[in-house]
Amino acid sequence: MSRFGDQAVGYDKTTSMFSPDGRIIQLEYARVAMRRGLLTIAIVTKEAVILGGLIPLSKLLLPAEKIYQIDDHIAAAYAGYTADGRVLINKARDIAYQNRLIFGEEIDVYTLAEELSDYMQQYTQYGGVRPFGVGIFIGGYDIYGPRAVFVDPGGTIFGIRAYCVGRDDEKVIKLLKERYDPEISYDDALKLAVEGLVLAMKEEDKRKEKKKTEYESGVSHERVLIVRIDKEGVKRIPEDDIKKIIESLGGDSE
Amino acid sequence: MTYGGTIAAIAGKDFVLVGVTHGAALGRSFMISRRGAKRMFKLYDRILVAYTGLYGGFQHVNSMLETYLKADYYKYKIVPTVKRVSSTLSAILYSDRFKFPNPIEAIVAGFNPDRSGPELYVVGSLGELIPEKYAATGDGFEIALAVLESQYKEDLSLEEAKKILYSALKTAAARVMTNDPYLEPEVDYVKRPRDNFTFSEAFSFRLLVL
Repeated sequence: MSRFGDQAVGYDKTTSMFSPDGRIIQLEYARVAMRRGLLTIAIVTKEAVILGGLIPLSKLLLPAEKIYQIDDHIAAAYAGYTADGRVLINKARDIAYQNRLIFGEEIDVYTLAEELSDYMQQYTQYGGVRPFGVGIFIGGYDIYGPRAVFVDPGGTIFGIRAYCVGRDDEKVIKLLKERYDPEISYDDALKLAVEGLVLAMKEEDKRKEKKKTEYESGVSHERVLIVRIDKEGVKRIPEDDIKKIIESLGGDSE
Repeated sequence: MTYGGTIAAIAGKDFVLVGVTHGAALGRSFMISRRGAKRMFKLYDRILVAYTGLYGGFQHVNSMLETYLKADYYKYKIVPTVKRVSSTLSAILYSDRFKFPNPIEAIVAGFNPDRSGPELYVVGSLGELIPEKYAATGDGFEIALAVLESQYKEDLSLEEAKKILYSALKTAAARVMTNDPYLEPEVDYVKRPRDNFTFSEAFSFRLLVL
């Protein structure tokens, strides 16, 4: 027991100090912030990367952006604190354009992730700043084919096959573990992604916590945003297709 | 250092026509050292940008321009007008005003996303930005401009304009040593787009379409 009484008090005031058991507690809080965000999911198949997420929907506000195009061949999505996320998105774009300017070619997914994670890591080692409260997925089609990575608030890079982060992610990860297979076809992967997102919406509905806010709850294809990143570039999956998949799953899409 | 090339352009009623002569010479020498030098670029199928002067200069400036435009496009959802492209180019060139200015000149011509235009701007090496109806710049500009000046009139058809521009460039290439007289001038044009640019088609996965 530290002299602060509670171990968490004191060591969680800054990221520039480890706790006696070797953790950076602020960073763990940042991960909590990340997982409070709406679910974001990425699946890599042989022909394309699927990047999807849930968006908040309200009568009073315009639909938010969830997935951002970084360059012709790369898109990114984040879960967590939106204001932090968009700073990272714009940083990622700057990195991609700088690569174009200097080397005259498109950046590859891992180079972008490396550069971005360098930037994020800085916010876990210096005083006076807090880490980013987001985890960011970067999906792209580069010279090595379709690839996706996940960068967590501490700046750790995870190369991914299928992964998700956000509210109710444990349940969706369980689903992905059961159903993902490296040989998965694109259509099956798309179905899996939609199924994961629908699962998250249902879980959220169970808790009914959303009812208190201006945001709408319940399973709806309007809350699902998915893009496909392949050789041709980044393309949004039409709402109707998502609606059809949700209907085929037996969910009630409005 | 490779220099050279004459560029000329005519803005018609529903088209803009931009032409360049080929070749890049080593310094201001008698020798055409590079025949494959590309000096005209098309943006969004509605804007043409042509450069003349120091080859390394405009190659870099053009890649900067393209990068800036791409950043505008993805970051701020801006689809540029002809004025915006030429102003960006002008700002890039002016930023080197007190260092070592890029010895290049450019012509930017084309149509706007809302189909208005044509607009034609000449951008100078220190960032000057001048709207014109027709223009020529580069090593042989005196000769090319003389031909354009004497033959240009309002309401030229595309075919007539092509002929005039071609002869202007051909004449310049015949007499000015940094132009390649053995390669035909390259002439390209863009016509007024048929449809207005709509945001939904460009940002197919952006939901925020107003």
